[in-house]
Amino acid sequence: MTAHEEALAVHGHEAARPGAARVSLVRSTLALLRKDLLIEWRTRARLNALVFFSLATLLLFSFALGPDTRLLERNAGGYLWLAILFASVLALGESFRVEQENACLDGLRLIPADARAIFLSKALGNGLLLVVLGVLLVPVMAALYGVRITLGLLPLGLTLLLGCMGLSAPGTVYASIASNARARDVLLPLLLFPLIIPALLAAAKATNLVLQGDPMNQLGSWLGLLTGFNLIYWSLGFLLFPRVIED
Amino acid sequence: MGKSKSVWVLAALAAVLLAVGHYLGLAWAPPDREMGHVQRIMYVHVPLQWMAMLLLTVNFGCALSYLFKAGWRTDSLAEASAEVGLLCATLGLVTGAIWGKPTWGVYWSWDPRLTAEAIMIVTYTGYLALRRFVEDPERRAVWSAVVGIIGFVNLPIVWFSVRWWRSLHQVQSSPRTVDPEMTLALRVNAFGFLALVALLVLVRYWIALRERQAEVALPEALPPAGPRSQEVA
Amino acid sequence: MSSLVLLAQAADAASRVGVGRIVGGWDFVYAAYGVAWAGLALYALSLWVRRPRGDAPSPASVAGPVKE
Repeated sequence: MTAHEEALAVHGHEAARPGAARVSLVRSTLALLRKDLLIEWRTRARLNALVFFSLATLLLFSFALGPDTRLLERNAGGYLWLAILFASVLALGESFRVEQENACLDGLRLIPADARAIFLSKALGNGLLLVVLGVLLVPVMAALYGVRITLGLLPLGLTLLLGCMGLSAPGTVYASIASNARARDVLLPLLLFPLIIPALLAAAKATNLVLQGDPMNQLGSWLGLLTGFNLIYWSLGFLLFPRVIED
Repeated sequence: MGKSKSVWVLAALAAVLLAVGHYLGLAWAPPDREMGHVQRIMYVHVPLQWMAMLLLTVNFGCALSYLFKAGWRTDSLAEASAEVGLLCATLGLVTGAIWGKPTWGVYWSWDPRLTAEAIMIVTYTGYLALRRFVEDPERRAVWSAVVGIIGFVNLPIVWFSVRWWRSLHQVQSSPRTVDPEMTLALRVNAFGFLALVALLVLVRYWIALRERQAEVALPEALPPAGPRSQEVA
Repeated sequence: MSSLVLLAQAADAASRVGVGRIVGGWDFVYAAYGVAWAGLALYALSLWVRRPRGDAPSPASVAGPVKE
């Protein structure tokens, strides 16, 4: 899509004129999110590639870390989150590469919508993608590592949601920066990995508790840490993203 | 401006304080009751860690300041403080590991403080890598300010989560009383390192500022810089 | 009763022995100080190599980013 088509698609002819009425933040976000999800659904290329990449990663962990099934079972949560993390680097990088073709990001900036709507829609889109990925990986993980979901699907789903959203908020900010710098494929993981270590810790720990049982009731604390992480980084991303993409 | 004057004053101050401090730390202060002379590593390890934290806080301040009012001085100070801060953190980590070997038997034991420091080092290495990989000076300044803010906010989060993570597995080391003589030696060394680090930052700041000039070199004919245009709200 | 007292006395004595001094720690001290000063010296050297030469900056170019 060219920049102009982009602006038209989101807001129609009236809004594409300069000086049109400002559109509310929520409406812009949802419109942009719908656009991204539509593109994603029509091609499905990115999701397919991510799924196969993550499956391969889970398999590789089994081979690299030996056939001791007890060890694999005990650390299954960790392996799941590493697979999601590695896939997220690819997903995040891709999400801004799409915009660079035909200068679509310039088109987005022309719309009388907040730059913050771009952030919210991108981060939500990426987060949702990772959640879908996680959902697809869980049965594979259960089969490969021989784990049972002891505490049930609801805590697992909550952990997945919080963890993936926690990855995608700062990841979106950094992906936007890295996509315009040299060595972008190396820069994104270099910036992102140290940042998300607390989220990774918490998500892996929480997942292991969900899989193996939580006799000492620690799950709440780890989910609390994830929630705090999300609150802080969604706020920071919301505040700082406009500065990242402004000219 | 007295550039060389400030350099010499700081250098002299650092030399005197560090000479006295090292004498105090290495010869005058008593050896530790449990760790013996090995504990003297503290007089160089702890000041380095303090300097690292101080400098990264300065970097955070510059990052915030730059986003409110852009200026090359702020950006140059951000670059200088990050680089020297990273140096201090790395040296702090290495001296910490050397201290760990006779104390705990291993160089690396996932001690929360050293672990958090290792994460801090990777974070700011990324910051410096970003600065190197962005060619446009304005974008470089804005983006590194954003990364600097996010990275710094992350430090307390990392500290708490790593401490929590480890506390579930590891017995915390017992609290120890510190001799007043040790405190004096530590303080003198700390001020000495402060002077030294200020000197390094000052020189690095000048280098960065000169680089900015070269990148943004304006022909003499053009009028001086005007105010920045209104940003998107 | 007396054996308990003896036991208590022995335990008390044992607790006061402590970990004991680490002998010959000076190697580690030299290593730590050496690494720290080597690192600082190398960095200072790198600054010397990169030191700024030439005239003082003009006010315009020091001010800040320019919008064209």
